[in-house]
Amino acid sequence: MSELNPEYYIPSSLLLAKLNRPRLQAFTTVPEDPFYGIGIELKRPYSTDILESGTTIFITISPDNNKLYGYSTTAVNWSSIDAQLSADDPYIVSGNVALIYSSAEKKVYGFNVKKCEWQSIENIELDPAFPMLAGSGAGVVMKGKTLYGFSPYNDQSFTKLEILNEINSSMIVEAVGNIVLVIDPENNFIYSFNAFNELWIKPAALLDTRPNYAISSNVAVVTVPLDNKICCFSAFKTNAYTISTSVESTDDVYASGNVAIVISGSHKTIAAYSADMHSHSIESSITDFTGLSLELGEIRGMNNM
Amino acid sequence: MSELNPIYIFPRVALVASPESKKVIAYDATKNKLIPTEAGIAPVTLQDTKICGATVGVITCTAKKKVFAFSGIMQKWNTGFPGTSANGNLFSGGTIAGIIASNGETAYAYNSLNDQWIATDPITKNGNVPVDLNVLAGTHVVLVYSENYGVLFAMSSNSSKWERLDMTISSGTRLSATGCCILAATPEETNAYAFSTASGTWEKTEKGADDPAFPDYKSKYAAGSHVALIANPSTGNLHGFNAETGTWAEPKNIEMGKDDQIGASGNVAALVTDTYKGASLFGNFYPGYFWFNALTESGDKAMFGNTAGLTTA
Repeated sequence: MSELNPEYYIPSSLLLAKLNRPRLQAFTTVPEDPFYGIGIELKRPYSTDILESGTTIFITISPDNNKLYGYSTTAVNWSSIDAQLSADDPYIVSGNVALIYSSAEKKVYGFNVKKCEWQSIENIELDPAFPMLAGSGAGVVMKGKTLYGFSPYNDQSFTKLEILNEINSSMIVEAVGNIVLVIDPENNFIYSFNAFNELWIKPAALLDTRPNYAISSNVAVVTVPLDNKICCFSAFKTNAYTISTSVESTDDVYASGNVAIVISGSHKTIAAYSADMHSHSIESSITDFTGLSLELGEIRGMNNM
Repeated sequence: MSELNPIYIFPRVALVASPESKKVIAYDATKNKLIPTEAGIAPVTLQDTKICGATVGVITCTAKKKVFAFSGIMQKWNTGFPGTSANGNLFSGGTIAGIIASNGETAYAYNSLNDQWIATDPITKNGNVPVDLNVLAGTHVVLVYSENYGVLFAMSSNSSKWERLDMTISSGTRLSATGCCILAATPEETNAYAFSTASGTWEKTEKGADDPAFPDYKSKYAAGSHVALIANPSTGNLHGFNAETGTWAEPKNIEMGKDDQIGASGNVAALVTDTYKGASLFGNFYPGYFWFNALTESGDKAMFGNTAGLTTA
């Protein structure tokens, strides 16, 4: 579970934005120099700047200066890039993911935490109906027949995938935690991208018009009744995992943290999938599902006072 | 930062209860195992309740008058604390879960790291004054307290025992349990207290210069998963607690103002003053703590990292 580096999940930095002296200064508890403070100059005061914090990143969008700034606690450094931005350009900061769209440049910028640099995709005109999405470690940018998975931890943050049809409202697109899940019922494909591997996983599956699915921090599952299977995805793996079992479109599908559960009352089975082990277990000894209930774990006690 | 290994952050357990089949089955993702309770041992009903954290789950069984617990770390069910009532409110942090008994006098906690149930000493009732136990749960720590009786019990998954603290609880009291750290401070006391996975005991603040009574009603508080910070504007003393060493730092005396910003997140806590022209930062860095000053000016904005993105589900 080396992918789950604690440094990505425990905030260790403070940002000071200086109003009268256009300067951003970040302080981080780092081994070499505790509370090392490192600053970056802005050209002008930041009254129109947008400041955002993620878990281990700070982002400043500076339209007046045509600059983007990013600080990475992991790298203990700042990075800036010239970018033509307006205050209306859409952006999203979640966990360790930061995605910003420049409508003037037709570019999407993403901040790479590992390399502490801004990376971008060019010649992309976003459709407001299909915005960028972000979990805490994985994101997705959509345009036409192209999907770009985003990871802040990989050397190349953006990973392109061409799909058969243009993104449309019949597709399901989700980004939660370290997982992106795209379901295309028309073409019978499931696409998944995760924070720790630079590739799209795309198993074929004979899909229902309204596929049943669940997604959480490190896990995603889609039931495929017509194929008698459940497609499972782990944030740590480079392939999909298939559970061959009978399921119905009315079955209940759940996910939380590293666990996914599919309860099939009609087939008297409970399928459990582990994102850690990339394997599953089936419970079939329960004969009566009347009143059956499920409790999943939650992330508790991490919040600030 | 070993205490907040992501294995204790992301949930890996689930509980399935089937009243008709008289079964409860736990699933643990670390080993991909479905682990049922022994046959007939947990005849749950529709009224029974359950709760799960990252590595722990508990479920009431009113028929047996017990609370059963599951540890994903130990890969086993625990058949319950002897005498535990199944009536009450369940609670869970990341690694510890339990129940506040319905009579309000006792809390029972199950530690998934060592498969132990630990009960608080019952609070001796005084006439008709009800025992009003409440609970705050962090990833590795749990705080149970009674406002009416001025009693606090703290435990961590490391210490695995309740530590009692008698302290007046009032409207000015601040209590928190976050990550590895518990903070308890009230104007009625001359010290503030903190508890952590490292200390396993209540640690009171070090006495600072010109600090006869601390904290007071003007005091400001902040706590992250590994640090806590208290600012006392009346004396100018800053008190920082490092949860990974379980110690309070030597107080730092500075000039404070009414518009000072205080905050904390993860390993960092800070007071950004408007009068001192400086920010005083306190941070955890195992095995120590550090004070740091940064020159600031009125209007400067402070921002911390946050864990909001992790909790999406």
